[in-house]
Amino acid sequence: MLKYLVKRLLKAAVTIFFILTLVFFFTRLSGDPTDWILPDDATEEQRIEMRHSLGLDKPLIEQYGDVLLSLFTGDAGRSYNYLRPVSELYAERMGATVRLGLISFALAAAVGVTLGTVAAVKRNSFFDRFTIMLSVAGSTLPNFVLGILLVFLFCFVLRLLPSGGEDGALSYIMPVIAMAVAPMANIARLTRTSLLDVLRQDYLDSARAKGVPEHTVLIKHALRNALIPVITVIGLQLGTLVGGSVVVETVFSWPGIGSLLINGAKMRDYPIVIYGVMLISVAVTVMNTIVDLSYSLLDPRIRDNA
Amino acid sequence: MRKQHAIPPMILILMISFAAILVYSLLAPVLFPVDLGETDIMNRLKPPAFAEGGDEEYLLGTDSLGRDFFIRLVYGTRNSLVISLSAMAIAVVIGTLLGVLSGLYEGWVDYLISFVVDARLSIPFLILAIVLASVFGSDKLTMVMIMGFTGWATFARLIRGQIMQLKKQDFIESSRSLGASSVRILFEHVLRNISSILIVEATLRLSSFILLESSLSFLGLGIQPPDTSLGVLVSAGRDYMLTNWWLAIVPSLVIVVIVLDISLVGDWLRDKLDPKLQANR
Repeated sequence: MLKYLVKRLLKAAVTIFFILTLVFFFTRLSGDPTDWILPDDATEEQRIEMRHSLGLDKPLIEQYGDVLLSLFTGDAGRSYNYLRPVSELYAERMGATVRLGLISFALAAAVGVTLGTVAAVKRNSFFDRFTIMLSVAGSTLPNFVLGILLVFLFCFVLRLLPSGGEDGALSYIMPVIAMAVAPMANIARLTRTSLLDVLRQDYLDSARAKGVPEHTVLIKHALRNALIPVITVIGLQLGTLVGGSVVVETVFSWPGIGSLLINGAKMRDYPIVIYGVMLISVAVTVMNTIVDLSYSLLDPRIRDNA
Repeated sequence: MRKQHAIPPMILILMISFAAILVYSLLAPVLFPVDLGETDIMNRLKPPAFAEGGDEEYLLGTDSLGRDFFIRLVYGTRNSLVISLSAMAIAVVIGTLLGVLSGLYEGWVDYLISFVVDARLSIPFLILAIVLASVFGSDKLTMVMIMGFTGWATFARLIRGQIMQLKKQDFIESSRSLGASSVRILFEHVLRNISSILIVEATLRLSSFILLESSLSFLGLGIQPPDTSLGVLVSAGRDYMLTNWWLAIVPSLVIVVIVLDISLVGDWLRDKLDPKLQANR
């Protein structure tokens, strides 16, 4: 087990290193940032000063080293536009994103598993068909389209909810729905398929024959086994959620890291872009590694094959 | 038992409606030979022809710069579909090539390709595309390239798995012992066997390419005005939701229709291909 753990962690570290390297050198391909930070009529001295203050006059390899180290030091240089340390900018906005993400994640998991379970138990019923349709629609609808439709309905037609910003509980309703629907649909679909597989197994009949009540059979015997693959998928939805947060935060003017990253990308503010990609890839890689490890704990065959 | 080849009427309707949207939007330059950049400020924000105060001339009214909104919608749909389809073609080619390589040659080739696939999949599709769009800009060709180069990984992984399975099968071995060359085996047996799975995967994934294109354009990192795409239209329409709601809602609904069309057809194809899944229905 220890060997597997070390191997898996090493792979995660190499992956993050690879992504950072790629993103760093890609962003350097677009030329001298002072070309678009400073006005066209800036003098050469101003340019030199700007480069110096942003650390762009250091040798490339040293800048690259700084970027890699920033993962540990948190010192990722200053934003071209805000002229403030990037880590500070991200720290300020992290809370809003994490709050929105966690609520959406919890909602997606709870509703997804429930819908999937009921659909599997009442197989071929109206509810089942409805859930299938809902999960196809939910997993393919772009979240900004959903967001716009929600804003139109709840904000302009019904005038019930604020259209954007983070301001009290009501402001969470629409962004959470827009973020949660896609992962929820995936979780519901998988729960249903996985539970249907389990429901066919003979051991459930033997439990029933022993007089175990139906709901105990369902929850204790069937659902517990059916949820193993579902847990994996729930973990892997984090990537979907992170990607989605960028768009949803833009739709709802949410003061989180997603909108920071987008504005950074639009203005070619590369310290912001690099740090954002680093945070996201670390979060997703860590989550994937945890899922892998937990899965191998549940099923020793995976560990032995690796 | 005779195999069922009939297409359910519902799926047929979806296929025909998608084909209609595709053909109609592809014909846009012939049907509406206009300059998308030309504005007419006097006629801005007109309501649709059938609404009160609407003008016969503009079926869906005009946008904030007085341009015919219906024409922009058709051009926008065209751009979104053409870009997504081309990007997907690139992704399929790269993914299949790397997947076949990775599956056929085990050892370091496989190890290297699998590592890049894993690394690529550990950043969300959209985030990577955002980074690339910010560096390389976003004219149409660049967008196609960016989307193609971010989207290939799932295809590579799928094909690799398929090849690994196929390699163990007897008929490949028999073909080899009959003297068939590797190239012949590759084209005659391997590619023919993976093609149906590839078609299903491509159909299912097409909606995620459309989603990517419209999201990038919506965020302002894709197609740039005066050119347009569905994402650009939704984004521009957002500012007029109180007075001219259709400017944002109609293109949103077009995206909904296209994406649902494709994924329902893809779902049906997958079930048809894999009887095991059908049993779970």
